[in-house]
Amino acid sequence: MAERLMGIETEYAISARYSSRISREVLVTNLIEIARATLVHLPDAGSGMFLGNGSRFYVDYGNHPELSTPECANPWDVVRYTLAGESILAAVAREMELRVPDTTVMLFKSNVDYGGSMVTWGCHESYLHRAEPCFLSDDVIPHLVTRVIYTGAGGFNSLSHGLEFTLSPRVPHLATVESNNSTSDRGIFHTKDESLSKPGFHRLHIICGESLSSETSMWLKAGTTALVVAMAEAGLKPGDGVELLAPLQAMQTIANDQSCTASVELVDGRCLSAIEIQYHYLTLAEENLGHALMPPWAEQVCHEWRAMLNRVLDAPESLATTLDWTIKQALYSSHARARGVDWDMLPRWTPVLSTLRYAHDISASYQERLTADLILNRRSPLRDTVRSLTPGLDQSGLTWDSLDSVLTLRKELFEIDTRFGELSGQGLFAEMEKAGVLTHHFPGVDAIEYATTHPPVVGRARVRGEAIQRLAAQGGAYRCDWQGVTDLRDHRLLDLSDPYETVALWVKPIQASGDLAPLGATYADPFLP
Amino acid sequence: MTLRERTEEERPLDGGAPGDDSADASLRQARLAGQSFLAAGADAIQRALSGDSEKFLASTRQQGGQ
Repeated sequence: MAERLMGIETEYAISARYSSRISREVLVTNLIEIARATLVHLPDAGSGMFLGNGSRFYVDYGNHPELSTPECANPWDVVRYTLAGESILAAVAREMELRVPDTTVMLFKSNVDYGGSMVTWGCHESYLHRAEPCFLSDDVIPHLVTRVIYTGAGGFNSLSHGLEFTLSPRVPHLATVESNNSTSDRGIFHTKDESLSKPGFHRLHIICGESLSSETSMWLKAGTTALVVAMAEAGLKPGDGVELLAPLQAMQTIANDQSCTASVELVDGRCLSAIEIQYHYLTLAEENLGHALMPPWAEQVCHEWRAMLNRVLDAPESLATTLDWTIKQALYSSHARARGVDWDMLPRWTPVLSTLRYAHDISASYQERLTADLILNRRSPLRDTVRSLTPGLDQSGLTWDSLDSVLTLRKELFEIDTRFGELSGQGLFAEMEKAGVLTHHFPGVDAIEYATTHPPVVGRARVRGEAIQRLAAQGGAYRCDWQGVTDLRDHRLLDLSDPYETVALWVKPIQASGDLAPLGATYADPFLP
Repeated sequence: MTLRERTEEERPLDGGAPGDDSADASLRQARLAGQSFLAAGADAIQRALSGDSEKFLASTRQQGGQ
């Protein structure tokens, strides 16, 4: 059995409800300052910090507050520390509301913007491994493409002028199969290999996933992907036999298929569904549970993995209260019915709304809101477009009478989806959790509050967290990064370049050049009793 | 590929054979749970909606991240 380390980094959306004069830049700066004043931490090399539970809190590209979990040795800890991070973030936001008058901070666990900027931000996963990175993509890509049937956040295609529900709103923002970029031209497989460890280790950095609310989804995402990486590292070639002919198109097909039955083509000419490809990975994992590179919790992952796939195949309706995308699908389709709109007819509105949007954008009324009244009134600048669309509308079984309801529903569902994962406790998911109607909990994901101040028990995260707790109270000048804690005053380093480090050993002085002297001599930790 | 192996511990999806009393009870229970879920969702949605979704979306507009 082998320990496997992994982690999640989540960018959150942030906004101030009542103080629109506060820019997001100022808002985020205030948030970081309050975190610095209230949380046990050591600073990182930038404006962020490492916390006493071994995690990292900082501001990333696009002014998104971001939390990285500490390195976790099992999927329970991945979920636990993700939720602990959100608890920390929400507490800092509450503190900010107390300190900045008339400000309500809204933090959202979402990954796309529906406000017109057409942008996305990420929830990235990291899996430590020792495989040759250049051989990993073939093994991992079919898994990443097909796991969305249980890991998708659900939501809408934010690049569409229609109202297109998708299992995974991140997918429309993926532009290629493999890429080294994370802010544009994003790929399913991210080729960056920044190990944040000493030589010999690699870190698979996955950027095509999404932040989730369901514990079951989060747990399965981490657990199954860790097993796929373990199998790849073991040379079992888990991707053999399921190589996709066109991975990006396959991912789009699967993300757009709420029935989870669509087939995608393999390079060998066969067509398999996402469930079948997932069963392929699962079966291989089950056959290799005893492999030395498999983690001790592999059997439980396989058990839950199989149970989930069986439910998706046999009884998808039983998942309506369990997974992020299924919860959203049930809620949003119900809301559409309440608004008099047929959920299944929505895709037919996409070409109509796209044409109207385009015509509106080049019309004299482009600055006005695109409403049914603007579109359909007798003096509408879009009347020619409406006339040309009418025959197709009739053939699609749609009527102009429904246009107002569809446009209203579109905006409402975008707002609802934004607020689904709001961290304040007022988000939809939180409200439904309070009502006791969800079945997303995963057994063993507990002690969230404890995890806000205590690191995991395995690996360097424990050494880092304990050092931060001691040193933050000592004063002095320390700086922290993933690979160590630097004592800037006494020029010593707590070397954590080994991700499995278990003891706090301070090493030789840092040379004037800033480079480390060769490791060897160690110093007792002066802060240990 | 082993597509359909079941494990004993798997969560039951129904209570028994069709026509079985326990199956009927299980179905009734599932329906009630479904109704409670949708009712709670509808309530949450009504509380969440600001009344001007377009304004809300504009005010929470984000910049791109990673």
